[in-house]
Amino acid sequence: MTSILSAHGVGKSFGSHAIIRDLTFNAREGEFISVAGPSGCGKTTLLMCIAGLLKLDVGSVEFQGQKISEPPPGLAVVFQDYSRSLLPWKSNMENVVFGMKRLENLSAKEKHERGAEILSSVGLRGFEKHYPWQVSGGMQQRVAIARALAANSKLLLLDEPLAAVDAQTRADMQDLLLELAAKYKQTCLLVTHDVDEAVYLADRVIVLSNRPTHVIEEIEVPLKSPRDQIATRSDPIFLDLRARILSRIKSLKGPGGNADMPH
Amino acid sequence: MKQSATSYIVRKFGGLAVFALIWEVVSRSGLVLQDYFPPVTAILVAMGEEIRSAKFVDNLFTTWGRALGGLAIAIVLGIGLAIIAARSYVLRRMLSPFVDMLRVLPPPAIVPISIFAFGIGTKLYLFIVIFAAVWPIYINAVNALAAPEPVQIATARSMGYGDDEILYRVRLPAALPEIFTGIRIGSGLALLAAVAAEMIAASSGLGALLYDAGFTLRVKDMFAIMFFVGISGILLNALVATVRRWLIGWHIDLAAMGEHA
Ligand SMILES: Nc1ncnc2c1ncn2[C@@H]1O[C@H](COP(=O)(O)OP(=O)(O)OP(=O)(O)O)[C@@H](O)[C@H]1O
Ligand SMILES: [Mg+2]
Repeated sequence: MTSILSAHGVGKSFGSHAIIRDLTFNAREGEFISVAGPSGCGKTTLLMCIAGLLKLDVGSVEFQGQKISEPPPGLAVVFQDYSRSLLPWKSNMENVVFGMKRLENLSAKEKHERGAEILSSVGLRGFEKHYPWQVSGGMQQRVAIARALAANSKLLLLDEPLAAVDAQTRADMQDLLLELAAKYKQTCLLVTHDVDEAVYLADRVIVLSNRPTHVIEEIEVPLKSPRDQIATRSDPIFLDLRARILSRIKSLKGPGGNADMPH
Repeated sequence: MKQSATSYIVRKFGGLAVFALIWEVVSRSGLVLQDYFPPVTAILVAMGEEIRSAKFVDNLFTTWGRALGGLAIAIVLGIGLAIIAARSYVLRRMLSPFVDMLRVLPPPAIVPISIFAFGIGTKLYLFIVIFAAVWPIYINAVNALAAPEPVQIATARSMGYGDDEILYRVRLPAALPEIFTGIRIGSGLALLAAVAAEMIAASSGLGALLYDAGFTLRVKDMFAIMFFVGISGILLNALVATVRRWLIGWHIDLAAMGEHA
């Protein structure tokens, strides 16, 4: 499979605080990558760099063979603060249509048809006219995901998209994400704190170190697709990978290892 | 949350009715000189006479025209200036002492200098009204525009929106609720400034009539005109509230939801 994204020797500091140092990885087209790392290590900063929203200090990020310097077409982001990322003066449908900025050759009518189709595939048929603040947190998250898919992108960056929802919703959303990634042929880069979730979703898990963060391990996940909440989670491969990653992350938390830097 | 029309009216005007009743009783009781403190009913009769006179209605509309015209220009100017200032932190810092200085000048204080600049006429009244109304609109707009939601901006940028589009399609709509707070304050000041300017430097409008009635000791007329100014304020507020609901109904509903949650 061809590489769609490659980060090479990425470094980023805020003032004198080094956040990312010499971070390198590749993503293959169609791959689902989970990124796991200690809290505050710079995962959001990394996604912002990949999305072209923050300038790198050193290194480079290439997306579809092009070096990124500003937000590139074909790449969509769902931010950690998704509910605040939705525009409260626009209905769910209008929010999704707002994401189609780069689909200039579609008429307003076609955009609405596309919006209706995507909203229904995230399970929000009938909520097109609602405002984001009129629906539950889990539904807001789906609107944000629908809006990201609406751009007809190839690469989806998801920053802890399921951190704020309850366990049952979370399991449903995980399966929905996998379904959507397949349906819309997305390459996904999903940041998560939850190791189980990282393994369950991914074709490959990338484990990041503490600040300044870099890749300390890349683990292929040879689990069968489609995944299943019960079968996959009791698969010995799943349990083994989960244990491996947990202990790898635990080893990071030595004395001073996870100390929060003052800023 | 539904309420019947009567309970709405009671809530809205009940206080006013009680106040009028006390006024009436005190005025008729002989505790005060009726010549200077006429009963409400007498004032209402005077108001009835005024409103039937074409000349008075002309003057009423003149004041409304000055206040609304000036307010409309102040809204455009205030938001326009805020959009320019929102682009540059340095410009905002440089403007801020001027704004702080100018916004505390009472409208009558700028009447003399404005007469030198504009003479007596429509331009003068408009200028004074604009001057009074523009600052709260500008200040609210510039503060709101300068404090956007970073996640909204980042999302829009990742979608391919440029800085200008983000200003008009994200930052401005997001700032509208706060801008309306400024417009609400500005609208009151616009009416206040129109009447004040008319009292000092006009032969037409409610302010001129009020001044004339006051200093020729037509006390009932004077109160009647004051009441009309007050009513104009209520109508103006209702107008602003209607436009507000029309433009940012989403925000009103969102805020109401927060209150009941
Ligand atoms: N714009 C900024 N300016 C200065 N420091 C920043 C900025 N953005 C983030 N930081 C700092 O960079 C570090 C990494 O932040 P980042 O949000 O990327 O971490 P994260 O891994 O996403 O954290 P979390 O697990 O809480 O989501 C933090 O110490 C944060 O305070
Ligand atoms: Mg983060």
